[in-house]
Amino acid sequence: MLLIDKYAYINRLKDVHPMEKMVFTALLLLFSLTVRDQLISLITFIVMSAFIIFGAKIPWRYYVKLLLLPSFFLLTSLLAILVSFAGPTSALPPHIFALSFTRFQLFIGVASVAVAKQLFFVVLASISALYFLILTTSVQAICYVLYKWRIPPLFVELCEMTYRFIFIFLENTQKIYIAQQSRLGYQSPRQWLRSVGLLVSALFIEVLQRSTELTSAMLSRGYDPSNTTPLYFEEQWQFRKRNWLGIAVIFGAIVAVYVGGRQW
Amino acid sequence: MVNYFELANISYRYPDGTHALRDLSLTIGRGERIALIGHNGAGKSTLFQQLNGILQPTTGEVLFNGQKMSYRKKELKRVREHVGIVFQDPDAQLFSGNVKQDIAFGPTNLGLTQQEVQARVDWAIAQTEIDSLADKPIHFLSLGQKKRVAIAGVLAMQPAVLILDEPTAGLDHYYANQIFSLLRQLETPERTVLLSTHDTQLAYEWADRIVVLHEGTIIYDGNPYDIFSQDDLLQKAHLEKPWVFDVATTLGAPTPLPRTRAALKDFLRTKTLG
Repeated sequence: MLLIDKYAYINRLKDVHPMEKMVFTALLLLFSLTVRDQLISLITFIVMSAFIIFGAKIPWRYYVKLLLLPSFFLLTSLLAILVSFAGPTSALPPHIFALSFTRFQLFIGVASVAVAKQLFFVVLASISALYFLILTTSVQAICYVLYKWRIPPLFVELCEMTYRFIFIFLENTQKIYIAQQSRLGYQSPRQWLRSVGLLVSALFIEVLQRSTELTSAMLSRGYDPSNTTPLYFEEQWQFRKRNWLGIAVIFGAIVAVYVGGRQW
Repeated sequence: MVNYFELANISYRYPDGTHALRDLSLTIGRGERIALIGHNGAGKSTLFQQLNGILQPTTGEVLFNGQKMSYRKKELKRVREHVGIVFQDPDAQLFSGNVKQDIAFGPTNLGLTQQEVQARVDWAIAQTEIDSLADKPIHFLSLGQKKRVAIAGVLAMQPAVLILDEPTAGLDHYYANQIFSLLRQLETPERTVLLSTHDTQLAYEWADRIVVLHEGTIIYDGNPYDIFSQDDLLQKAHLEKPWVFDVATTLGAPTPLPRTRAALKDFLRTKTLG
């Protein structure tokens, strides 16, 4: 069981209409990605984090942990952007730091600092917006909205099945791993490699078997592959004027800050 | 009245050469309660998959409602609308995100309207007593819960022939009993329930016909009493005598023999009183 998935079902915003949550996320995310403004990104991050911690009541410690997850990728890419190399004799562009070696020069350019700063803030905003959606909205609810947005049913169905299969495989991986461990499969690096290989091949076989079984089960229940039946979704949510108003006010305020900041 | 199924001398060989069914003949009528018993690998699941056209016999023919199955798409659809199979491993059957969606899968495929689908889903949920699970995602459920959801998904199609592959496998006695009491509620004069099980006591209690499958052929087909007095047959099929049957015959109970614990107790009371 994944905790991140569990929160989607038990958080305080679970009963809010998924359309509202998705529109809210999409507006803020797309706006911060389009304007690429540090202040806007920071505001987006703060707003989203506030909704996650105070609105959805996700424990802040857990949220911080989640934020740290992608930070490894962020930091490595920041490093790659910041540090530039040049030939030993070439003139350096404006820079804040430089080191010369006999064969090359290493420097941090002013332009790269700007790019890195922008990237950092945009990533922060995007991550928080996506976490808001993931932590407050279950995959079924997201699929429901996608279906309502006229995304092809085939794609929506695929999403749902993928989601279901993730858990089947997690469960099986865990079972096999425990079984291997209890028979001392991970004692030495050599055994580790062997056991992991066996685990992966067992999972591959499992995929084939599962898909055959699933096809039989679906056919037994009257599934006709050539004819897409409409998907079934239960409308268990209700729109609230207050929420739409809130979304409009927040988004309006962010746009106003951006426009105001430019004119200033 | 026409029988639901008539299987005439069917054999089935898997592509890898395994003979799963050998020259098997079986008739399945209306309103029957049939328990199919046989040890692992006897061909039970293969037989079930013949009954809704997932597998086609290598030789022999299958008659559904008196008509020979042609395995054309349209006809398969008609057969599958009337024959529901609950598979042994619920994880192989449940694939939707949440319980309600999964139960709705079959009725939606029947081409019902949204309201009708909704009504069927609610009915199936009420029948299997899974109200509290209705909105949960499948991976939150325990094995027993998944089994009940799998049954609900097939029930919602209201099949005339309900087939359950080892519905009690992996369940504790309480849930196993619950599934059998659910099956009793679902009885109608028209509906036939066919299930496979290893639990001879439960089969003895519930079924009015027992079929024993051994290495792809039927070695017993008849009432639930005679089989358990044929020791050689029981040994061949690796079956155990139901304890109620054993006690009742040892104490010389009159026919019809008591089949449930309660019936056995009644008999013991009259015996001691008399």
